[in-house]
Amino acid sequence: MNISRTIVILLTAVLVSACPKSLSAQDSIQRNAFHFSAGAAAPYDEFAASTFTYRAGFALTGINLDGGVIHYGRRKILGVYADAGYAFLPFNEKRYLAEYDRIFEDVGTMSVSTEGYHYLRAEVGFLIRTIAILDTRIILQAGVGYTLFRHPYLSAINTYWGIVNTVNSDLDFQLSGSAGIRLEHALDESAGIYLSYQLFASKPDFSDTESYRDHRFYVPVRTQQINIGFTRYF
Amino acid sequence: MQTLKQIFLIFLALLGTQSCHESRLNLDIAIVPREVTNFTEVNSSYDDYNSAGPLYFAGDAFSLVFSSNRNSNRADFDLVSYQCYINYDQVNISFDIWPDSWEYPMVDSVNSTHNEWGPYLTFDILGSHTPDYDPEWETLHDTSRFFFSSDRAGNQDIYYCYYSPGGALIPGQWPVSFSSLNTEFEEGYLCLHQETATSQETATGQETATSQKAATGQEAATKQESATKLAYSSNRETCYFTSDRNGNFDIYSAAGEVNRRVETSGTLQVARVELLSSAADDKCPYIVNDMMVFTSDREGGQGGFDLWYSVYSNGTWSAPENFGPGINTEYDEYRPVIIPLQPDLFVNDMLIFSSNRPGGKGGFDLYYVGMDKRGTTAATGL
Repeated sequence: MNISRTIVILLTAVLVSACPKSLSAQDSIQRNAFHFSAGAAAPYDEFAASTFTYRAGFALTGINLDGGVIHYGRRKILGVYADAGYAFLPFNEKRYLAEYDRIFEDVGTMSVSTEGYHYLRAEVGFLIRTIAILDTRIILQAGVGYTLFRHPYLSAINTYWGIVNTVNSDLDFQLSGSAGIRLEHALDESAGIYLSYQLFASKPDFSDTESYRDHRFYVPVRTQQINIGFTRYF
Repeated sequence: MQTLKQIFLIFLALLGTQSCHESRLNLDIAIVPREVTNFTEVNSSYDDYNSAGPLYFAGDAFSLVFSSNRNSNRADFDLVSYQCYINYDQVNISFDIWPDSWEYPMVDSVNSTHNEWGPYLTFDILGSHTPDYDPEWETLHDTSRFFFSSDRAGNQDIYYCYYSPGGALIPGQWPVSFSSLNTEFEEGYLCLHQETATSQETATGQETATSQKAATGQEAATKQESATKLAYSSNRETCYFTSDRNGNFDIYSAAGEVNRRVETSGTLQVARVELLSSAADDKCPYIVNDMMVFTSDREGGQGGFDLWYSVYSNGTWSAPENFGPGINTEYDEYRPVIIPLQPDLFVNDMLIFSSNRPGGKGGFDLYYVGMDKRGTTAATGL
């Protein structure tokens, strides 16, 4: 969290110093905006856990793309937004293998095969803008939506025991939520750039048909999304 | 940021992103660990050994009956019983057994002021697939058998009685001597063997490990059921036991009459099993699914009594193989018992045995270890 805070502060300083504009730029911006951003999606909590513990996700930091539209009220303080985003987080195959090696120690040789997590989200929500200082505003946002998750295919093979685990890839469409903060700097009356930090969460559940009695499980997906983006006012 | 996260988590709770499902499994089916583990919860500072196979095994619970001199302050061995629950976790891949002291009424009925050793319990379920059995067999089908040995008549002899599914002796059926097997010498550790169709197949252990995966679920259950039916269709029981009637302890077999239980057969064909017996002492045979485990202090072991196994195939037993240093030590390993675990729940079986190796609670202790279903042990360092 300290790293995230430092990044936000530094990037704010860069944005502000690189784009000195008059205070009047934002006063005349339109009530609608289109935005697009790209950045990193970093897992946290159990989703990032990489030991054989309950609900451990073994997820690694991946990429995140986000885009959407915003509509502000007459006073341009409160607004609503509709977003769509995509994220890919690799599976921590190295740690997954290490855990099996730890468990089976000298029994055979382990090999694992993994894919990554994908999710495609759509959400709507509210946002609040603060007053502008040096053409830069803080925007708080929170929303809910539905996300389509794809659980990765996983396989673990031991040369002595054979296939010890297989989890086939599976899809789930699940309720999700996010909340975040955005630092937006208006370049002129029609465009701006921003840095956003967003927490995203959901609990998709999947089927493990390879285990006894078609075991169902859930993965508590928790990511921190740090993006840099572009806004077009219209 | 921390405040933001807390607000967000409250927000999520309000959203009610619920799910009551469990965690992703890291094992499709459970594995009994290869490390020899002291059965601490059932052991005492006295001698605890000579366990029996389970009275029943239901999913992850099984009964355990064994001999101990704990109740008499080492004066004599009595049978004690426990109810055991296997606790395996396919997420963090752990394995544990929780025993619960459980006195079967029949155990109390069998114990005496003399020694009771080598319990062997059958769980006889003869279904509708046995229409050709003679009436006597049919009338006894709902009563299971309890064999054990005792020195209540002076020397160690084999006894048997019948018990009901509830674990109590059948009224009026007190333990009686298995007179057609007993002599003035020592006899004990009886177990039964019914030749199955799978006996005709090789059990060389050359199957790939991946085949174990295919033997999961319903398919495996059906396979096991078929094997059981075939076992009873052979209509002849053979028992194996230990005797020192030829000078040292050897393993003997006694084949019963067709369509009769071995203990009610009028004549028994008793023979020393040459392939399994040696010039040393060979004791405590125990058979599950054409695999015999026994103890012997013959040459080729790790020292003292060691555990050995042999596989029945094509009508004969294979040359005994030592379980190796993964299980055997320079101390005594005694009375091995195979606990066959459900193939749709466990990759392997469990071997329970007793040993006086250091590190236990004192005297002989019971130990358990994972054992490969292929006829080899998981602890031999393959």
